[in-house]
Amino acid sequence: MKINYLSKLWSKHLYPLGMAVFLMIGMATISQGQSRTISGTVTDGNGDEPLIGATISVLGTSVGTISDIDGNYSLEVPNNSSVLQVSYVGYTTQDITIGNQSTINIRLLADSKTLDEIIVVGYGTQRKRDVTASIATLSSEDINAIPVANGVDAMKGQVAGVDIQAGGGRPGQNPSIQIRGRRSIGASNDPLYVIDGIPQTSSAGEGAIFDINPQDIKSMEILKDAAATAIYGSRGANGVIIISTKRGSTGKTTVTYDAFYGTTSPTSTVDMMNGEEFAALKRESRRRVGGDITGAVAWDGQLPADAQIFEDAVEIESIAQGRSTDYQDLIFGNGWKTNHQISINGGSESTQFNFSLGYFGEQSFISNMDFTRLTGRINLDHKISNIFKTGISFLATNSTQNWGSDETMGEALSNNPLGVPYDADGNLRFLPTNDGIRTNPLNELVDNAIVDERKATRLFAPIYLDVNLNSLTDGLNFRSTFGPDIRIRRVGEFRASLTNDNRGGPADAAIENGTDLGYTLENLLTYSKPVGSGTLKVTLLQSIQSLRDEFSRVEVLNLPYESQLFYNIGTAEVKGNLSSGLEEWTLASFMGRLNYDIGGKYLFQASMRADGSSRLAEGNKWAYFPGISFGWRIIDEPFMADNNLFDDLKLRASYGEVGNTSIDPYQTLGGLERTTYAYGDAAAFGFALDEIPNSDLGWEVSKTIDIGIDYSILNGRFNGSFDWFSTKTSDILLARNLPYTSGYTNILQNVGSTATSGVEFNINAGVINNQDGFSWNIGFNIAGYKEEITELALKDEAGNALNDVGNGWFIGSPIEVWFDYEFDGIYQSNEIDIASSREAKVPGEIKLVDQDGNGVITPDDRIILGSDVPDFYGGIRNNFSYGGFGLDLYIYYRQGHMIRSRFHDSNNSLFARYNNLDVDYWTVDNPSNEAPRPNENQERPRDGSTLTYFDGSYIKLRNVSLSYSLPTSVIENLPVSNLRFYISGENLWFGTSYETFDPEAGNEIDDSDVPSSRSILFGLKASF
Amino acid sequence: MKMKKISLYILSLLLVLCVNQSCSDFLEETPIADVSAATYYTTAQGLEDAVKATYAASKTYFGPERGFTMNSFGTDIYRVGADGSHKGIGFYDGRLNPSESYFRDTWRDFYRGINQANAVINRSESIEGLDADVKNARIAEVRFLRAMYYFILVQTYGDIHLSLEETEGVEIEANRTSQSDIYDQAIIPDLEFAIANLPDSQSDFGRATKPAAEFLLGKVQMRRAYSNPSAAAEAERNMSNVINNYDFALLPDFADLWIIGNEQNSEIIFSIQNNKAQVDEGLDGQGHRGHLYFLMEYDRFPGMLRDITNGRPWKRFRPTNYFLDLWDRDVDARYDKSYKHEWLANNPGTYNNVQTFGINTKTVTFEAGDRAIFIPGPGQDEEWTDERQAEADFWVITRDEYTEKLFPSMNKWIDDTRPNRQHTQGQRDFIYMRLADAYLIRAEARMMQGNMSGAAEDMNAVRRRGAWPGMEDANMITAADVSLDLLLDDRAKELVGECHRWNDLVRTGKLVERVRLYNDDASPNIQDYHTVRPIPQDQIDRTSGGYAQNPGYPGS
Repeated sequence: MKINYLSKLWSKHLYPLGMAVFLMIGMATISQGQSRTISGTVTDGNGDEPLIGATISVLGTSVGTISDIDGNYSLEVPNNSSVLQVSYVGYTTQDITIGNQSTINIRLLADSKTLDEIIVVGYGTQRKRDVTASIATLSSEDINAIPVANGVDAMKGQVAGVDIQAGGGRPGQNPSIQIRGRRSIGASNDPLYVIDGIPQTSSAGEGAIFDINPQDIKSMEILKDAAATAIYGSRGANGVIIISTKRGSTGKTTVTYDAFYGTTSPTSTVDMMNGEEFAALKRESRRRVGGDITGAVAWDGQLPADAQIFEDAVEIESIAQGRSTDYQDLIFGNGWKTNHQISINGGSESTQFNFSLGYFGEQSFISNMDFTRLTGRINLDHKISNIFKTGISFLATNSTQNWGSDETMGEALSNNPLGVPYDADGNLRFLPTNDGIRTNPLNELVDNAIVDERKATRLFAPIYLDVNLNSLTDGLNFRSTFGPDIRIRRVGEFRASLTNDNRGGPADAAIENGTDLGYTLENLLTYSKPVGSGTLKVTLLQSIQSLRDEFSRVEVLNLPYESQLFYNIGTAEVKGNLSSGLEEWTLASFMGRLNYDIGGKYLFQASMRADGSSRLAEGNKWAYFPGISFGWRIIDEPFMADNNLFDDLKLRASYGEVGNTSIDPYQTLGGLERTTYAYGDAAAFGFALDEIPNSDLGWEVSKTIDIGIDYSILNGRFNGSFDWFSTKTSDILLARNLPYTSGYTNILQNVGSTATSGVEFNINAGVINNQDGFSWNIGFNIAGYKEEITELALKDEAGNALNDVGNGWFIGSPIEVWFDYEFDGIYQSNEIDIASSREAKVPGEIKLVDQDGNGVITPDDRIILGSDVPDFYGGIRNNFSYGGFGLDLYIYYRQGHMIRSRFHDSNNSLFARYNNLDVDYWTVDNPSNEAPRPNENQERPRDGSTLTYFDGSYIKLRNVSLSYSLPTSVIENLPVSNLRFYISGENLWFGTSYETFDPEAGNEIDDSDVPSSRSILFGLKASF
Repeated sequence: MKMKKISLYILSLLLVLCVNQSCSDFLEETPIADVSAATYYTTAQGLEDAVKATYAASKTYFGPERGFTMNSFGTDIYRVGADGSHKGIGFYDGRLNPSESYFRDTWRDFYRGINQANAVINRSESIEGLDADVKNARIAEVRFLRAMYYFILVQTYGDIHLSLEETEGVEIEANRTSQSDIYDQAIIPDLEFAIANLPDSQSDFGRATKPAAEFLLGKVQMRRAYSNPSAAAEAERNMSNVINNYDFALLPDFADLWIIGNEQNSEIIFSIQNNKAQVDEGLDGQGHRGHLYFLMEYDRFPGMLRDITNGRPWKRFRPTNYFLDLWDRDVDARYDKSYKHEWLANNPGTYNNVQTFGINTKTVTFEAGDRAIFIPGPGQDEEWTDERQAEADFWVITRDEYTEKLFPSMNKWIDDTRPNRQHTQGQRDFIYMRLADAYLIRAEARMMQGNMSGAAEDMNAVRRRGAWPGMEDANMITAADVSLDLLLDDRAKELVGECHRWNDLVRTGKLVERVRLYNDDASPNIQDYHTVRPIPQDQIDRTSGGYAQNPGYPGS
């Protein structure tokens, strides 16, 4: 019913709106009036040096130009224009009234240019010069510099201390993000997203940011330290990302069209065995005493005759013909990616608007995986009177992801290369060999063989009312914001008969529906008043938030006919599982904040937030989160007046406490689990104990100290910041494993503490900015942190913390470590005795390191092999420009972390029934130390997990973009005010020692993952 | 005028603020979709559901691969087939170690069931409005189940943790209580209570009954008798009660035991219940999966396709030659009623260049229903010389051609009522106690007490039923024949595939001896310490102060 309603809403209301937008574009392009020309020179205010590339524009219009090599400009201005705006990087922007002048020479004054920039800090804005916390800002230029599918990808590599990792190679798969590492074990480490003032009720994975078209974003502020995030209290522990979408502006209406299209291909394929190599592997795996297949298995036995080994006519024929199938080659085709966005921006004195419509589509190089997203946005602001102002940010998003088959990739990797995918008539052979388990990966790609269609629709519409209470007292303002957030998701699944799931059995299907209804109501009172030499600002907030999530799922088996997919499941012969659920949570908050400065030189901020969460136990629901910060603008001290180096220098110090309750609701109550039994033919469903009630569950609190420096030297040519931070998280919420004898496997508890400390550094450098108009800018950032567990539940008699081996938690180590035996090569033929006495093995099996040297391998020989915490990570952005040309190179790197490769579990088993990675395995004639002896009698080698740990370090050339903006001389003759073309290459190269897939896929790479994609895109951006 | 306006604004502000309910209500957590023990287990209905959940705890072991593997692999009658994991359990090599997931899951699931039983027993006192008789009966049922779960754990792991109280709060300590204390403090008192309080039969088929409790106590006493011979009389007494005091009777035809639809027959004393609707619809993710594991790879032969009738061959377990040699098929019908001999073509057509067992390639044509594969089986292999095999229009598999993939297929659990050929959950009840077993345990108890003629009488009761019609006498033994080895052979023939074998061998002290003699996979590796399984490494790692490993295993 809801979906019906939405589609009606779309057709009745949104579609006409879209039509209106198109009409307006048409009108905008013809409304050009009379005009005249003005010209002049732009120079540096200190030395009369000409400034090349300064931007000169007419305020309130889209008319503009840039100064040439001599600093000269010439500009045709509409008759009614009044104000010229001149801006240049590193200089103060000037507004000049045109009047009757036809020649206007401009002297720009060097300035710590960005300092007066206004940035969003959460429940308000601040000038950058006044900010006392660690906050990074990305402008819409930064976000749209390269074509991306979502805002998170736009942040990647651009902000020190923000670690973003791709979620996988499927279109629409969302990346993961961690700010300043990880604090919690049991709760989420996702940052909080605040969009147009509304803290999101969904996490990133459930929509939050990924529903937002990145081109609609005006700015993103990343709040990293606890003083900045403490105003978000219980939800600020993992950092906060504030997203502001573009709003309308008074003046001429501008229309912008933005588009790209390009092709995609896999970045890498995996070196699996070919037919000949596989045949050798299979022979080797069957060594028997006396070389007879019915004899006993023996590492030093003989190879049986081929006639005993190869039982399948296809295999025999392939070996005879030297035939081999490369399934990866067969499943990869060409993909594409495209984006179109139209936005219209304008307004009058009382009403401003920004409309946009966006379409993003990506087709994977694996044919049944794709993603489509439609977004519509209406941002309106209206001044009702001098007292009231209201506005809305309305977002409607609809996305469809075709997940495709989880088996395509796995089957392409695992299928016996001696098998044949097509018969003589060119039809697919469902079983390329006679092995019933290995089905043809191409069958997964047959149209409608596998459907896994995930649709999501979202309506998010924060509405605000501003009340100017100056009439009561100067500087008093009130804002109330209400943000309803409706998310509807539907998953439709269908698996035909000839798929790996059903292996020729009848088709099955499932439908899942879910609806999230969330709302946020916030009332904000602000007051500012000059006191002494500074300004006192007070902010008071009251807020409530609620989310209700309900879902249902129906599964059926044995569909009578396949063409129905999942649209007529009532016809199924067997009804399968039914499930539904409801989850609700609420949060109530109060917050107060004080800001004060002394002469603009000493800056203070203090805040306190109280949060009450329904998820926590009675008596522990409320907690208080203080934050305090201090800034010292050293540059403004008299003793800095004569320095020629710095043009900005500020020291920041802050302390804050934030919480985390990102746990599932109802965990305090001790839920029961449905059980299935029967008495004879009568069902006897029961309810079993499942969770231990934890009536003590409370807040997890992180306390962070941050000390930072913001600097700018040589007229802003080099600027950036440096931060050191230290976070101590106590009462961490953790799902703690229990001994099974308790009757439970784990419990969510507040136990233990972690400490994380790190440094972040970033610099923006104008390396070259020469008179020929050539410039080269570098943005570089690097961050690193150390994470360690400092306390756990287990204590010895003296009260010292003990390692919790059962959970893999160790004092002094990061939260996620791999605790296992250490690989030490392969037992060789002359090591029969030691192999047997140390670990009951034979030559050809994996040798483990005997860490304690006691001559036998016991569980005490397990060690911490590594963790997923990188030593350092960051990005480098190079930007070259000359004339209208621009070249951008983005490099992203992450070093020193470990991958536990599930991929190797599946594809390096040396079981010789399935295809294998092309490794140098041990045989009695080949004393390799790389991989064990193939053995048809074990699905995976003993201690095979020791072969799956890899250094995950990588460096990537993420993007290279070459762009060209049409010069004014050409633009003048076109009905456009700005036109830019670009070609962009994504994921062109990466360096890593992990040789299978792109290592940027989380810390455990699986073989249902698909390779990441490389793309070449062409794009244009035009404004009218 | 202006002030009035302002007042209005403020009023409107207050209205917005008042949208909030009072805070404590707003933050209250009310689970609608879920129930908790604190609210549900306090009602009569809740207690009934908690009892049902205690039964359900048996289902992850009895029915799925785990229970079949732990009781079939590494015995004298079954060895390792081609597919699957957990083969260390069959080889007794280094893979049989504290990290083996089957030992972990068995430990975990039965302790979960025990805690569930403890909760029912502890909480039943405070439930209002519950009829005293019903309460007593339900407590007797869960005490029966708790005894059963402890008995399985003790047989599997030896000395283990004992708790008779529901876990409340974080419990990270665990004790190691001797087997005899667990018998004395938990298993025997629980079963005595159950015997005293359970009815002779239940209208809800599948609930525990008095004879089921007597059977279990008989088996427990039989196990104890090997260290405490006086228990043999107790075992005999309990089994005699089962045999004499109720209406149980051996089915006249052994084959009738395996008919789906005949699961509530006079021979069944206690079975773990599966329900067709539940297993088909996936509500029961376990079901009886025995149909998967004992089958050979018929589906790669010309003329054959995998189908529901022939089953989904996972080829996990392969019979030992010793077991096959036990049969005198002219006399004893049970081999032919437990094993499949021929597969009829279900994929008709002409097949060229077919090659098998190194015999010449040839072209064959199958009509639907033609014999496609034939396994002559024990005692009849000799009739199929290589020449005769080469002449046949179907594939013949004799003993010299048996491999991990090709072997006589046990058909006791085949389930052709599954909704499709891939469906793994079968609908059969898992037979845990049946009358034939009661006779054989009593025979064992009588033998131990020196009553050889009584033992022979019980063994003959089972042998008589197992014989071909007219061959009953030929299948009989005399008191002079009775021996522990013969008794074990009889148990093998009657109960093969029913998940008793490993425990039978351990109980009788014959595991290491017979495995060394008869199981080629395991004979080089098996050691004396293998008569108990290793304590799961997770239990050791997670227990405060650690938990002792059983002797012989890494870390002990």
